Amino acid sequence: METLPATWDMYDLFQSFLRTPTYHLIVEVCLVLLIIKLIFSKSYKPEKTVLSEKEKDELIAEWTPEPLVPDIPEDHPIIKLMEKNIVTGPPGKYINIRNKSCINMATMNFLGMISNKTIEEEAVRCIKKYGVGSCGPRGFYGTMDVHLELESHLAKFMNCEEAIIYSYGFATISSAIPAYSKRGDIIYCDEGVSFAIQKGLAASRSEIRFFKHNDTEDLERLLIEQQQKDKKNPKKAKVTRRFIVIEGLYLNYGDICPLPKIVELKWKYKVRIFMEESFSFGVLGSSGKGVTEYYGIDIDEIDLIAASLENAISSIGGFCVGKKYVIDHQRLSGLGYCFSASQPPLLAAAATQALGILEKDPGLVTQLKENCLRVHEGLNKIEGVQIVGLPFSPVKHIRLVEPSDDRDLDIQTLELVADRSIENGVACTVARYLEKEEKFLPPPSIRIAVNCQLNSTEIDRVVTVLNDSFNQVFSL
Amino acid sequence: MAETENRTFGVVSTGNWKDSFYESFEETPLLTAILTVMCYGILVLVGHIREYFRFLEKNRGHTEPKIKGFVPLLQSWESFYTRNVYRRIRDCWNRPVGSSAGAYIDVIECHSDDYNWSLELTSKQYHVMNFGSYNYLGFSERDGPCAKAAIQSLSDNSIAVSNSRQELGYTHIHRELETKIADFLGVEDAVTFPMGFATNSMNMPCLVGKGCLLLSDELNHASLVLGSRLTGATIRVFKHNNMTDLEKKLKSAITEGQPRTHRPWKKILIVVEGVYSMEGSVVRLPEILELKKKYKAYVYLDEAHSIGALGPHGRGVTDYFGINPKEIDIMMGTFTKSFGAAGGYLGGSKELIRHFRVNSHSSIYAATVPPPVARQIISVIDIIMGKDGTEEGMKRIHQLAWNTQYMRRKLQEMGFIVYGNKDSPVVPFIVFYPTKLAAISRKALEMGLGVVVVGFPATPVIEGRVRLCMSASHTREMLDRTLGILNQLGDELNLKYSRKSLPVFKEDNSLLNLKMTSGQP
Amino acid sequence: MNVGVAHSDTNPTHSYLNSKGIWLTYLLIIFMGHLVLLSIPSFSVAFAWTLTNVLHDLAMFIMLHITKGTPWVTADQGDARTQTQWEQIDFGQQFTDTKKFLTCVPIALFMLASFYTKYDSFHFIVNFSFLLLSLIPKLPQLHGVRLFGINKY
Repeated sequence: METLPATWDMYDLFQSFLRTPTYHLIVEVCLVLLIIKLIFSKSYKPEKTVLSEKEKDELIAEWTPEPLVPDIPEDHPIIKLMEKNIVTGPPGKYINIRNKSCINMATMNFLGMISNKTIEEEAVRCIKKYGVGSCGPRGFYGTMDVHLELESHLAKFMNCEEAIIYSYGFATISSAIPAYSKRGDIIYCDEGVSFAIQKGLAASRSEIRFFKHNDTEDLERLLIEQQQKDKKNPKKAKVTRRFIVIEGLYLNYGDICPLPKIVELKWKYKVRIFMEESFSFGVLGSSGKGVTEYYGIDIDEIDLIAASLENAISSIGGFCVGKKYVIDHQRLSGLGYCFSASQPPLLAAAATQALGILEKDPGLVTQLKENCLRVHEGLNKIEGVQIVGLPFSPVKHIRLVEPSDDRDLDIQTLELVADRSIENGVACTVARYLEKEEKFLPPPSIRIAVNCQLNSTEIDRVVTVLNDSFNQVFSL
Repeated sequence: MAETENRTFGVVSTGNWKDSFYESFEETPLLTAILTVMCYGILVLVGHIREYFRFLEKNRGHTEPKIKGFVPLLQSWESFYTRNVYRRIRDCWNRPVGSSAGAYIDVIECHSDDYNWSLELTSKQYHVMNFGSYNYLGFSERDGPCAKAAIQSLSDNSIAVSNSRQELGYTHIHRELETKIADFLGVEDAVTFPMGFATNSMNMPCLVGKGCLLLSDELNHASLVLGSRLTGATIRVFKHNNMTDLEKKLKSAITEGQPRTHRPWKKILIVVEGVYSMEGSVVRLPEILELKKKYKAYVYLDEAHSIGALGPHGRGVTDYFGINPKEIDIMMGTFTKSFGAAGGYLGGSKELIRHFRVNSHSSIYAATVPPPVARQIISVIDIIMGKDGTEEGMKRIHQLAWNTQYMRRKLQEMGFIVYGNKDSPVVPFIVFYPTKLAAISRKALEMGLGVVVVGFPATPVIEGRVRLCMSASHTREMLDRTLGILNQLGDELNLKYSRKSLPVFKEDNSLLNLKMTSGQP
Repeated sequence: MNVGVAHSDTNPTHSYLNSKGIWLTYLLIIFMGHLVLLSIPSFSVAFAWTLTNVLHDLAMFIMLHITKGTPWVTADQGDARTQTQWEQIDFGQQFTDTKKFLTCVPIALFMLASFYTKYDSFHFIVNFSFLLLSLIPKLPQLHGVRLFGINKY
């Protein structure tokens, strides 16, 4: 350092340039060559096979694409049925199909919120104040005060720090999962989960491990397996997030997840729990807060609860609740939240109103439970079928005891039963699935949704009609 | 009358469409670009310093607590930008609103005691002109025939139908809605969904899959991007509205086939939007259709921002270019914007729609359009098509077109850099600096104007912008007041960067005429 | 800040270095940093140049080759989390203009430093080793490679 003077002039510098050591010169020449090489390197990959323009044109002329969509005949059974069973008027306790008023056992209107007068009045008030649409995403003047109200009301009702609402039930969980779980993370998922969750899993690009439906031993086996892998590669384990994705009450099975055991596993193996409560929210627990209340588990044990507002609440939309830091993350990274128009204010206000009704009158939940038990008991008497689902679950599946090998045949049988019961004044529907896309396709069934407003005569009628329809179809 | 209108609102006029197709994206001045980049650089630098001293901060409710043994749920680095840049000007977005999103809007003031970490509503409301909502035709109304019809449907039907279409959720009102929208679009059939975002993301997987190629415009909306990713098809992105690039990619796709195996592609789907919501550009549809024919590709057209807002009859880009909608394979659009409702539709051939009715995720697993919303849409369509027996629909379409041209011209004359097509009702002008974004958004709100601002990373670094969404409900007086406010702010904040003179359009004369004929509401 | 709108490309890191004026800004920052170092009285010219070069290469190494992921939440489902900034630039394509430019700058800086340190061997060793630090990770052959498993997760 001392050899170099503190001041300098150009002459000195050029003198030293002329005396450059050879090694230095070599390095500099190499670097200059490198730059030259860089400048002439092309950024694209050269084509391997070079085709002439004529050949290209021929290829283009030869290429014929597949048709855009498969040919679906005009008289496809589903289309025919849809047109035949077109609904008139509100799908409340009674539903009008084929000009006939039927007892509605198809709509997930568990608490009878559809055509509730106070909710309707609230919706009218809302249209008069806000119009119908919100005309923008939440970020751009699409956040109405009714949305904020619904969010804070939901958070309060569920005893959580924060809630976020989505404008569509299906988009709720399918946006929430990929907001947290990314490539490289692991999701343990129940085989019985509904399609919206499956879409969320697919969008997350994480590693998905399915465990047998409601089988915590199987889940633990998978967790232990992972624990052993982690020991081999602790560095990777440190950045791998793990999630258990379950439903509170399974739509496809009508049963409840074994939450206490899963919470135990959560702490033992450090996995977070995401729970979808679309069918247990407003249904389970003494005041309808869902599975956590039913089991008496602190809601903070669950990292994220997502639910649709389309069932017990009978609006359109969905919500997630949880800790503030968890939920707020979705406000910038939940795709269905950020990039979609906000929920129409009237639907948000209707949901708030319905939530208020539920809060004020927990009797609805008890009534629903009684009805479920009664329907279950009644249906159990039908011969040749099996009722899948817990007695107090408002969603029940009626499956054939002796299914044939042919799924289509079974569906046809059930379809006939549903058709006959509609003719006889009970509306119910065969549970439909996208057969090619479901990961674990549930067996065909007729799905029954119980409404808390049904009285015992109506329930008896439902049971009789279904019983008769089954008997008629079986005797064909 | 029809003659002049056609020339003014669509480019179908006699001769070549390109003659009156004008789009401009003026380049950023170099010095401004450098200063903008430095502005972000300083924000990031200060952000890094703050991150080191984060432990000193009292309010840590927003950060993730450490739970022993658990991998942190959120990657802290990924929210660096949110904490250090977005948070500072967070009040410019998500502003709560206490009224309908009509011509005027009541914005509730938010207040923060802790440097925007948390915002609390105050009782103060700003009654401002609404240039932020996508209320193109002004149908987001509290009263009037549409709101009345919606209220009526509440008692006739219900608030919502939570069943899926195939599980007894298909009602007469849906049938009516779908026939109406198909008729309006000029396609054979249509199907509707209650959420616009989901219309794209849930239905694209029904169209293409593995072995298919999606050619997607680089500025396509997130729902299209998500939908594309869920399909499992190969996705290639072409430069925004650049037909040379699209043709190059189409050509090499067909000649080279699938990567590695070189098998021919099963199908090729070009995915474009009608009007791009951030650039205000209009898709070059005639050229896309030429390419489609030449290369036998299919076209998916998302008309979220163009349906109702473009064309002499308000029927979107096909109307604007005078193209038969049947030439486009999949017509998609939303009801959120021009219709003042919510949801989306898909229109096309009978076979296509049958496929969606049977196989779409939404037809099986998710709820159908809520009846009051459906009723609103039906009555809006009736009005636009003039089936209610009034000229109201046409009047609104003309008003919107006039407002758009007037606003764009005046802003350009003032010296703002305005992006996009001369007929696009989305009017973005560039303010570059993130600081200016915040300043204009806050000041405009105080002066009685509600606008949307967008900055990096939603736009390129140096192209932070203010976006005005025109509406038929804006009156001449409102436009002039807005222009006055923007003029003042433009001088105060030094936003008038444009060095470009505006070309003369052939309808400029009729613009003046229009002022008289279409008149002011 | 991705409120309500999006580009198809969800990760701005892919392209922000291509925007206008950003290269010039970068050069300006180096120049200004150098002026600051020069203005410190006890630093000789040679020392200031070496220090500029070392700090630049070190900063470049940390910012482009160590830092992974992005500072914003992207919808790419964690693709960027495994990639360094350099690997994300221009979608990982090699020999693009930005990448060429970012490779040339440290080389030019090294040459300048060599010139102003009068080709002193001590300075040469320091400067050259830091140059390598910023050049080697840029080699196309090392794209996605984590030597000795450093910085792998």
